[in-house]
Amino acid sequence: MTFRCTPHFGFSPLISSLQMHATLTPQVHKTFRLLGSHLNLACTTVLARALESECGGIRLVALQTLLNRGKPEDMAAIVERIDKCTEAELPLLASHVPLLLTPIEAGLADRDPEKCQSSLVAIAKLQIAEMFHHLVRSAQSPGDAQQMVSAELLLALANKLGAESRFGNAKAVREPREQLLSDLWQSMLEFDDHKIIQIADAWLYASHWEDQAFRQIFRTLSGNTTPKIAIRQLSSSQNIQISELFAGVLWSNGPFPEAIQMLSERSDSAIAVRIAEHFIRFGTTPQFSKNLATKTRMKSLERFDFSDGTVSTGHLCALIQLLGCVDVTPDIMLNGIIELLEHQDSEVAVACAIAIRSLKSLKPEIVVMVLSDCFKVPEMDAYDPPPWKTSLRTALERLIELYPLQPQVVRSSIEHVFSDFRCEELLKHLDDWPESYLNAYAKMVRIAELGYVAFIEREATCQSQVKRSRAIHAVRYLGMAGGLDDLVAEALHDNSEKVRIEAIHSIASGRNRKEAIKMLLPLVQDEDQGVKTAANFAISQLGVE
Amino acid sequence: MTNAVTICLLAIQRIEGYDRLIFKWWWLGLAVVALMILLACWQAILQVVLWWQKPTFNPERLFSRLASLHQLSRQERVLIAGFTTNLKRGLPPAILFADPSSWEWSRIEDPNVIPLLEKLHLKIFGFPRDGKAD
Repeated sequence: MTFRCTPHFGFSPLISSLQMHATLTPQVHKTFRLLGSHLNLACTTVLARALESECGGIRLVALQTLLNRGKPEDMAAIVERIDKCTEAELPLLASHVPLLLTPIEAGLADRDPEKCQSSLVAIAKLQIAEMFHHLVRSAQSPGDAQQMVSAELLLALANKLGAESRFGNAKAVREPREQLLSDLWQSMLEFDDHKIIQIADAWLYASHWEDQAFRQIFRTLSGNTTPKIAIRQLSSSQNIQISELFAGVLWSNGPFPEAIQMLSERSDSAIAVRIAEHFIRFGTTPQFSKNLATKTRMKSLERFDFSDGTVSTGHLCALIQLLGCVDVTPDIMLNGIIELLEHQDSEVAVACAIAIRSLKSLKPEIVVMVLSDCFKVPEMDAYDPPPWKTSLRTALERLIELYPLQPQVVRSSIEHVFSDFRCEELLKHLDDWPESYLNAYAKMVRIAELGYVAFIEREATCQSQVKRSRAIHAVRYLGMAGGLDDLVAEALHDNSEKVRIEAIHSIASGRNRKEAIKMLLPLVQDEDQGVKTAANFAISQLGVE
Repeated sequence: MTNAVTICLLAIQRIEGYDRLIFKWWWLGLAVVALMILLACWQAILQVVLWWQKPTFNPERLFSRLASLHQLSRQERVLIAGFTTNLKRGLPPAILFADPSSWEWSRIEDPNVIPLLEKLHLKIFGFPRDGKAD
């Protein structure tokens, strides 16, 4: 519903400063002016009912009118309907708290549970610090009829104040937050008597990782019994607010080592997501780097499942960057990257590219060992590779598969990381490495060295017979892509017998069997005995009678 | 009381040299009495005013006052008074002047009164039923 806009009707400037759903028409203004000034007590009833209107503007004007009337029954009417007030109306009420104190106190003392509840709601909603103890006392009393309501209100209040202090204007909520923390701490001292877990939760919700009291609970880990419940919640609760607080320890100035230790022990994804959230918000601060340096392993990050569809892309990108900050094995990092790359989301490309570059420590020997079929060599005893090797191999193979499909930024990073794989190096080891190693190495050369075809072409047209022979030999592992098939076909007519034999082997090991047989069949009649034998052997290997 | 005043006045007259004074002491007495009468009158007026302005809980009077405020005709008053029967339970009749969302259009049984009520809605709130200002 929209109202005609008619400004300036003499109501408090607070109304105009608030986000009103509607503006006053002269007629509406006239009605409320009468309701505000008339002595008939029925006006209070009407205004109180108008507080429940579906129109935000009407609710706000009714509230302002009741506040202007200022009589005890008007204030009591507001308190009774405080739970109907929206966030937009609360600032107006908060500026009139002194007027509401008497009806709130009266409500607390009233036997009517509804009035008592309204008073508790008012304390929480209006954040009346000096009355927080009523809320805490009610929440910690299992026999109190309002206990559940009070506990819920307390949690909501603590959450609001805590979130504001962590991510908003900390100064604005300093006073009520400190009062709440103090009242809750007193209640936590009596935890053994009441056993109300929400009290500890509320204390954690309202806390900031820089709070002295919060830090102190880690100091007294082995002594005082009071913080034990808080510690237990911190180490096990997957609640967003508690995880948020605990994750913030990484950005804290000088936290206790026990805090970092406990955080690193948590392995659930809830805490990982919260760490990612802080990472997005605060980034890599000097304090963060310092704190991570004390404990470089984070179970929650290491065990995070990147295929979890409930986590946003932004968080996943942050998590992959975080993995680069902590000490994780390359397979964990690569598996995370692969999961992200499989999303085929342009947002993740840059984050993945950065993460891939952080894999520079991945040595070629390890990659070759993992990618080669050395586990399946018949001469070797049955051998179960360690999980990290299997995991890394799967990840590398998937990365190689995904490489051609990636945007340039990711491809460049992959090329950079594996830039130690050189075609020249492959040629050097043709004789001393097992075939599986050579295949694995060549696989990486194809990705890492863009100019490998040109290099082979250069070597294959060289004057030196040895060089030509080795170049054609290498094609056996590098494959026939990029015009190398023509090069090998030409090598079949080389002057050197050795080069021709290498060419026969390369063609025979190629993927196109029919083409290979067609090329090799004429060589069965070749004058050169060595070539003839090699061709016969190759054709027999290819399965021709 | 009258005797005491009389005795006092006679006692004053017996004071030596009293007849020669320009200021007569009984004037003072007269002034005091006049002041007391004035105070009594003031108190009486105040009581009447307070009685007149005494807060009362009278929903009907408020309803009537609001109807007058919006200059509703007799027919309109009858119409809106009849409409109060459609109000949700517990709502005061005068809420119809304060909250447009309290108008229960769906409960109207006679469709012929709807145009009249819409006109009345516009008169009371300054905007039509559907909220679209024209």
